[in-house]
Amino acid sequence: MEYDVSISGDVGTVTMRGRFTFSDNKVMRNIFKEVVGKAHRCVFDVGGLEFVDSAGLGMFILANDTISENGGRLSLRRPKGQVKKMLEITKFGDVITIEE
Amino acid sequence: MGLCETGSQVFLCGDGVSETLVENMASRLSLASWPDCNHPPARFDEENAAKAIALIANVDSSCLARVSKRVHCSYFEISELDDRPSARFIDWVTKNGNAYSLTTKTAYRVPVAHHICNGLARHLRMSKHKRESIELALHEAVVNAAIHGNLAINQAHKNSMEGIAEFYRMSEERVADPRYACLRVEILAHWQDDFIEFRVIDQGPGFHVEEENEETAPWKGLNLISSLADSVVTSGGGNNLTMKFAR
Repeated sequence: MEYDVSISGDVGTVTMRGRFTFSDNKVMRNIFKEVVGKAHRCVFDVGGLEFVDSAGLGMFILANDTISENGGRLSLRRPKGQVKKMLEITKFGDVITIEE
Repeated sequence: MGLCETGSQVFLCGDGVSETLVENMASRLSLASWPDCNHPPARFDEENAAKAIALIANVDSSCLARVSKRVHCSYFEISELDDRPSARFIDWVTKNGNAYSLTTKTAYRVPVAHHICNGLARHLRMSKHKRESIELALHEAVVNAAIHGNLAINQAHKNSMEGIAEFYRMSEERVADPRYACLRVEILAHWQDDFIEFRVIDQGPGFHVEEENEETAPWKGLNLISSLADSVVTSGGGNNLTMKFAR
């Protein structure tokens, strides 16, 4: 998985591309350091993601827990294809805000 | 003729292995052969459902992408502990469908399910929606077989980024150890006009179903696979998972 980060005020946006799976734990740890631990509001733009697995969703949950503990908010933006389907099957919208 | 006909002739071929090795192995296994998987002989008639088993080595994503393009191509990864497909593996290919035998190292590092589904989708009628469900379920089953099966790493420690880091440190350590890395993940595919079925088999210590069911989140492990497949059966103490999908 590849990603870009932009921070504007207290909003951090992570634009993700490719496949986000269990093997991306190192990448996610970097995202935690760069964004999740700093921004009050965090947006994961997943429109460029082709595939996400259960470990990928687990890492979104951890990011959401971390930012919520700090009084912030996290959302996933523009899910498509397999990613959108995965979020629907798992009722992920009950746990994390999804912006279409 | 259907794609899953029984009794088809099975050829042995290779990708990334020497011609001599393919020829010698074919002779020992009493199979016809051609050396290079990517250049089949004229007598290999794809329309008539002749089948191939590709011997592969030093496997990476591009290798699996290449061999998956061939019609009815199964593959067997040669490892330092194991250099030939078993009679059971060849029998499955002859009678049932495709079979894929890979080391844990490959199942851990390469998007195996993606390549298998790409290969099957070239030749089987499958909607985009169905293909996505199958790839995701197969991916989850293969990763579970590699990490929780053959690498014998349990679900603990995954409730924090530090825990996840520790989880993957252990995974990397074990996948670098040939005693774990050379254990096999085997995927057996079988289909008819109205269904496709996969068996995913590992060689790990297995798990207790009750333990696994404690994970209630819908995106985790077997819960996710169960919501994607039309039926899921585990057996062999957790070493064998069978998923069936309507087509």
